[in-house]
Amino acid sequence: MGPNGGARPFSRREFLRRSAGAAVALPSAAAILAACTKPGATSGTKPSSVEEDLLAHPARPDHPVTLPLYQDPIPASTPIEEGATLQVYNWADYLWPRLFREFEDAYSKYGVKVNLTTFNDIDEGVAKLASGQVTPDVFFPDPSQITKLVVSKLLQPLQHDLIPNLEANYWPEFQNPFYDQGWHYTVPYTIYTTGIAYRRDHIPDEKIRSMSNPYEILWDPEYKGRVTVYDDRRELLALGLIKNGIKDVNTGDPSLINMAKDDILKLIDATNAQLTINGVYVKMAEDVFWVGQSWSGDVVAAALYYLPKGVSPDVLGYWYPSDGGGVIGNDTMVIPASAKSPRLAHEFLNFMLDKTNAWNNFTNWNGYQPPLTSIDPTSLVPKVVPPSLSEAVVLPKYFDTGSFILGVSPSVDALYNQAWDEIKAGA
Amino acid sequence: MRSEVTAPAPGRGDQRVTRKRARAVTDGARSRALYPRWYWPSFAAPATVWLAVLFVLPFFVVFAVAFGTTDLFGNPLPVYQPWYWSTSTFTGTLQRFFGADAFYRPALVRTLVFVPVASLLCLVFGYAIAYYVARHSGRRKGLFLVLLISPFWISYLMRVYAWQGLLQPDGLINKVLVAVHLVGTPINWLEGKPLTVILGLVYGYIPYMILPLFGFLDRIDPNLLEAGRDLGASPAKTFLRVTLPLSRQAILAGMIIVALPMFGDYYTNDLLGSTRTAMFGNLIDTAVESPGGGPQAGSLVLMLMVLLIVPLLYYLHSTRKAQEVG
Repeated sequence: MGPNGGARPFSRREFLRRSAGAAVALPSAAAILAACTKPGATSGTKPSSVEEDLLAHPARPDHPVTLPLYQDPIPASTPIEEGATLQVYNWADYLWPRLFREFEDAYSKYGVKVNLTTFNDIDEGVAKLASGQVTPDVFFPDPSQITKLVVSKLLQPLQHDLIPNLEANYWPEFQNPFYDQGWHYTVPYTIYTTGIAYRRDHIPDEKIRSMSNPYEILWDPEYKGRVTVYDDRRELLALGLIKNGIKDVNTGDPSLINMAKDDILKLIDATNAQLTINGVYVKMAEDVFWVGQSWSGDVVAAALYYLPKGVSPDVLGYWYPSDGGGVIGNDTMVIPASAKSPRLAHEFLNFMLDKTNAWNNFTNWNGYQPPLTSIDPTSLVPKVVPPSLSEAVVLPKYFDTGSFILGVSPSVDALYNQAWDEIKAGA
Repeated sequence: MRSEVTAPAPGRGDQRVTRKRARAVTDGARSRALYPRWYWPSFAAPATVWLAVLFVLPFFVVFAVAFGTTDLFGNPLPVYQPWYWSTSTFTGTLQRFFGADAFYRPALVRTLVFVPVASLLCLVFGYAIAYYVARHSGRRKGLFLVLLISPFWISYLMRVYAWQGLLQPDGLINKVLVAVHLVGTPINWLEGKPLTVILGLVYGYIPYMILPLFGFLDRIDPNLLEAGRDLGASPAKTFLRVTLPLSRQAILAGMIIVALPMFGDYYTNDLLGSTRTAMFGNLIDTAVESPGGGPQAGSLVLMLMVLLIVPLLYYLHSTRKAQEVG
């Protein structure tokens, strides 16, 4: 105690005791206040039976879904918001930044600006949108999230008159997709496959193509320390399923999910594989990883943009099952219900669906192919995609034979979560 | 706190204490007359509010999340009324440590190995450095102190990214190791090696060990060491019998300061290890990032706190004992 300690009317111990009393009293008051509301009251209204049915039986290619409408689309006569800032919420490195500037220029007489906010994975993106931490005008979810977003009334229906470019420019299957019949809420952004990317300077093309099951190359201890797989719950477990011949990558069968999980743990044990998101487009380009699970767009982006200067793009190779029976997917663009500039958001969607803009986005920067009817996939090689990556071109027929990673019911989702936790815990 | 009122020290101190107490009584009487009762307690208000807002309240929210529920998107819905709390996630999480399929256990075991090993390495290297700076750096002491603090000028994240580059298969460290024929082929340091993660932890936390040790060692009265030597002790014996016992409290403080945050560290392993070197902090991180993982993350946080209370109580106990002795 300091020299003046004695001047206090009570000892330090008493002083501390009294402070502690006050410290305890404050939060209990908060708790008593909070107790006035029932738990779960913030989750909104209870879903109706139609909505519960939609969530329990999510869309599949053979079970197309028409999503319920809770409001009308904005009228086509809605004026463009003057001086607005269009809030775009997207994956990082997934849209050519120059297009934002071009959009601003095209709408300069309205004084609009574009602001980009990014998420690291789609679970985070959707969670932040749902909790209101972000209020974007345009969002880029994949089909597995659409139903949940719609029944939670987080999306607004699209005014088709304001988006003529979809019907003019895009594959017919995306004008009436199985996950959103009549495209009430979504327009397509890009399409991709999930295959295997590899460094051809270390692994010859013949090696992977002569294997009876080329997925097994990711389990090959010869490439110990040089293997990367996606740090993505559903993609990684889908690899475990499809390698074992299970085409239904949305299975709810616990024994199959368990088998996939065990096989992924074996992969990590055999090759010390790293779970990454940028393992292909950044680190394979830098020769850190030699073989990895890869989205087609990632390896194309690596070739277009990320290889060090002077390295020829043909060091990169990509394998996808020739029968088209691998994992496929697409991303969409939607307008959240809370959008502050819905008319401008419609303009942006139509702008991104413009033939030239979509093409420039794909070929200059992004590497992810848009499903444009004007693109003849076979002509992309070698103009855009180097010959060694010819299998990274997404063909329309893949959408007949490939496996879509899609939404699952909450109880099945919990099984995937448990398997994922086990993989991530390094068991 | 040495209690002046209840346990007067013997001898000369006795008189001093008595005088002081007498003054305290008169001062106390005067202050009661001048100030209202709430005057002095109100000085604690900032600290009390700080404690309540930044510790007690968030701690209660962790409980509310751990025993709460989630919405359709997996966002946690905290439940603030203890009578509605559900313990199912908590017990389920415990099962993952101690149940039949205890797949969290390896991460717990790794944490209980990595952290003590890394803390001890921090101590060994940190002690040597602090000892040198305190005792032998002469007039360059200021320079050494600046050098010790300088890593804080660059974000830990940036520095670990630099290590990633250095440790890559074709990075500088492997090039040197191969060039001097210490190893035949490059070592892949980043493929989930416990050694890399432990050294990463040491690298990240060692300044927090050196600074308190330096503070203590620097204040040891040189006369005590001279006395030791005068009484015939060798330099080694002086160190063991004088310096080391005097720095016991500093060692304990340094160990606590580095070990506690290491237990919650997840980014060192994220950047330098893999899932195979996942630690307790990575379990929490994965839970936070998984949809619906909020309650589980809350449960893990509570379990980690229980784990950390043990060394903390030991530290408090031993400092109190040291104060009673001193």
